[in-house]
Amino acid sequence: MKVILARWLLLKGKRFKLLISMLLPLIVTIVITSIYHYTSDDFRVPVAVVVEEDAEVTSIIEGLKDADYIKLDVYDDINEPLRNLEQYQYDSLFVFDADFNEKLQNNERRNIIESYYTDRSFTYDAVKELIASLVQEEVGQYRLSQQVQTLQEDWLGENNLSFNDIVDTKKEIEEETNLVNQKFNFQGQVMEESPESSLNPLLIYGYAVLIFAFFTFDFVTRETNSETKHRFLYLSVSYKTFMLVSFLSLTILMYGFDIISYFILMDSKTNLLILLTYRLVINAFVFFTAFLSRNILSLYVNALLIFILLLVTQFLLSIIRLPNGLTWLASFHPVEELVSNQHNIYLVALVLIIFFIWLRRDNLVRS
Amino acid sequence: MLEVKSLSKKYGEKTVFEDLELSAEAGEIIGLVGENGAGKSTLLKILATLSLPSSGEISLMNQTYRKNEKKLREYIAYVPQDIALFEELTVMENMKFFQKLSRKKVSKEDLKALLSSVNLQADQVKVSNLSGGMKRKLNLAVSLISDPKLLLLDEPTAGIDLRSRIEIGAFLKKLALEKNILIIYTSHDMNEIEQVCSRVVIIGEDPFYSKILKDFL
Repeated sequence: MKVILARWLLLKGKRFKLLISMLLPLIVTIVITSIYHYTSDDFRVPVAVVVEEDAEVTSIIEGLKDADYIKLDVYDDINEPLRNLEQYQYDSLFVFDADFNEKLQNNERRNIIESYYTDRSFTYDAVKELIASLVQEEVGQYRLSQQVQTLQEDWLGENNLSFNDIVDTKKEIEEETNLVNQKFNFQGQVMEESPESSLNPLLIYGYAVLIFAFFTFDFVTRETNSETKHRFLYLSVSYKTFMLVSFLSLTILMYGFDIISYFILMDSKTNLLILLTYRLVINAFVFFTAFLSRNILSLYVNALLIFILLLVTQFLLSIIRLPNGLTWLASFHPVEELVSNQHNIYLVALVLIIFFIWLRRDNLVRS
Repeated sequence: MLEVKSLSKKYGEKTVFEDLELSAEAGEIIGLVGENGAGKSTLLKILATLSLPSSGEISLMNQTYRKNEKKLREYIAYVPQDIALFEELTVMENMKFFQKLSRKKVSKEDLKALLSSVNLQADQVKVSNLSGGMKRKLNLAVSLISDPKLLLLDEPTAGIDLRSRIEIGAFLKKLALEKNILIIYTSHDMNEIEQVCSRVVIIGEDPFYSKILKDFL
């Protein structure tokens, strides 16, 4: 307790800076994810679709909405979207006539959709291809339905399966057996679904925690390189014990902020314990870097280098498949473990070993 | 109280000092003088357990350093030449910090009395705003919180004004007398050595110091 009180005496004058450095990971994560979601719309291509009365194109519209790069607006009349296209507010415009479905059923393959584009359109071909593939799928469903209904009449003498019944059954079977979407697991292992293509707040939070931990623990560099360190030889606690208690106290304090951040930012898939073990690993890593740095400038330079190194290696891990015998290397990247919802267990073990060795060494290097 | 026998210190091939002998009693103030590089600060650091000798024996209060180093630190205080204080804290906050972690129980009144004895009243002033002389007084006061039996000072009055030097010198004499503490310190100031010390020990082989001491004392 006296150690904590002594540490508080040293940090009392910097409590505002300390509070800010502990809050900033949460603030930065909220700001960045908000900006991302706000601007991501701006990066999508605006496309208009006109669906005239009686045209049944729900599945095609859903397919277009699912495309990440398209911002889709649906109209029932051509005038307004055409005017907007002329003003370059849309990249392209596609019109599904009232007799679109009839044309498909009649096996018509040409000129079944009207399309408009401008001299500034740059995704017209891509959207056109996408619509073509969706229409092809729709045609396939018509064919299937017709075949099944014909077989039913010929073999069973009845016709009580509708087009929708047949299509729904087809989709069910596709979802259950489609090899492209099938997940393969080892027995008993549950594979996490890959994240949707949106910004993962855990990733931002992970890196923010790393960077701002350097601001929290920079006192370690100052005090370790100060003459005051030698006075601990004559005190009731050693310098290392004093620093260890300081480290643990601040880490516990930061856990409070992490718990708050967890409830604000994360979804139910994220494990709180994983976040807390990540915090322990990062704090230990930063603590020892600060301990070994000769001055504040070199500490901040090291901080920047470490940040860049982790960022680059994480990017490489995402695009390079590690050979079978080396996949364990990814377990030593703390942020990668965090976003993969893994416990950072190897790093925790490493941290404990390093602390043990550090404490066992003579408290002051004497010549 | 303090016995130093055949003490030697070497760094690789370089010998700092060899076969040093020293004996001192409580209540003495011993001045260490010698040319630069003679080993004054090195000897002080060895006595403070900050450094290990290459050979020889030291004992304090009949306990050898070799076997009882950690225990003996309870009785030793070392005042380094560099200021060893937290610059961002006030005078009293520095005292409180070291008092909290001290092996001895010391009250706030005792801390104030200690500051008063070194004539340092500005206890709410940040260390960074103190003069050189006041910093040295605080440097000394902090070391005395633990109520040591052996006080080691490395040039305690280096670079400070005359008044502060005289005050510190007077304080050390009073401290040695009243508390029966053995004080050993290094200085280049012969006037100070003459005024304060009860005994002078020459470190090194420069004959200049033997001659100058004879003339002075």
